[in-house]
Amino acid sequence: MTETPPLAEEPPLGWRILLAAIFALLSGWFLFTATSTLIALPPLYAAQGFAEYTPWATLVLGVVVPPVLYAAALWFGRGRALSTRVLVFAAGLAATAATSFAFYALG
Amino acid sequence: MNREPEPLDEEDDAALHWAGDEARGQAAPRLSTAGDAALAPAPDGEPELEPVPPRSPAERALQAGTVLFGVVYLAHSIGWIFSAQLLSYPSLDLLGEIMWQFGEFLSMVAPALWFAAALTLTPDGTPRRATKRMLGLLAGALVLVPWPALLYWIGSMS
Repeated sequence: MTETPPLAEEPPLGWRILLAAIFALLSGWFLFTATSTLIALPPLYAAQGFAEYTPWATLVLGVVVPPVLYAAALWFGRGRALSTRVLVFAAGLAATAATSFAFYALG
Repeated sequence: MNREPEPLDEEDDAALHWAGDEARGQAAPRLSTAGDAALAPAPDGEPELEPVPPRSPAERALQAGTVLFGVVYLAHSIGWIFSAQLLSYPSLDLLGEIMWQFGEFLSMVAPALWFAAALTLTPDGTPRRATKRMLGLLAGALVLVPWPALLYWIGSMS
């Protein structure tokens, strides 16, 4: 089989925007906390004399991952039914939360 | 062996009717037996039911891969449930606390959601379905490694 299955009827534009906005807000929280940590933690490490131990990789990844996962959810949900979009956005948000804890533990 | 249908009394007959059946040309009681479908001739122009073809080796491999990843994702879920017990909120503000708890909940359901999303996005008929599904599940398995619990277990073993 090589034919692409027909995509479900797209939800109205208003619903699409509302859904994207809700998940943008929730993903934005994780981006906000990661950015705050990236700004606040290095000076704290430096003040204690441990500047060389600053976990730059996890700090930067913490900021990069939330928008990447949100954009991926937006991309994979395009042209899909509302329920599928909700599922894909929820998976992206949940993965954002999980990675934020992973970086917290690794950092 | 088909037996003759038993005659129906009037009360039974009435119970098997809906109002307006006569108007729609459905005067007969709505009784059906297993033999009816076999005896009834196929309506013109409608395709008859075809037997389900056996699964191809590629389909079996896809199914096996999906099940294998399902086990991995289940392990990830258990790992995140343990991780949530290990983590504690490092600050005092209410909104942060609420979002921390919400994040812990999301972490625990993340493997299940990713698995469901991967399956939903690769329905039957998707071009290169197996490759896409396996790549999606592999990416999720790597992204959702429960590091807090993993580090704790590694630390407690060494």
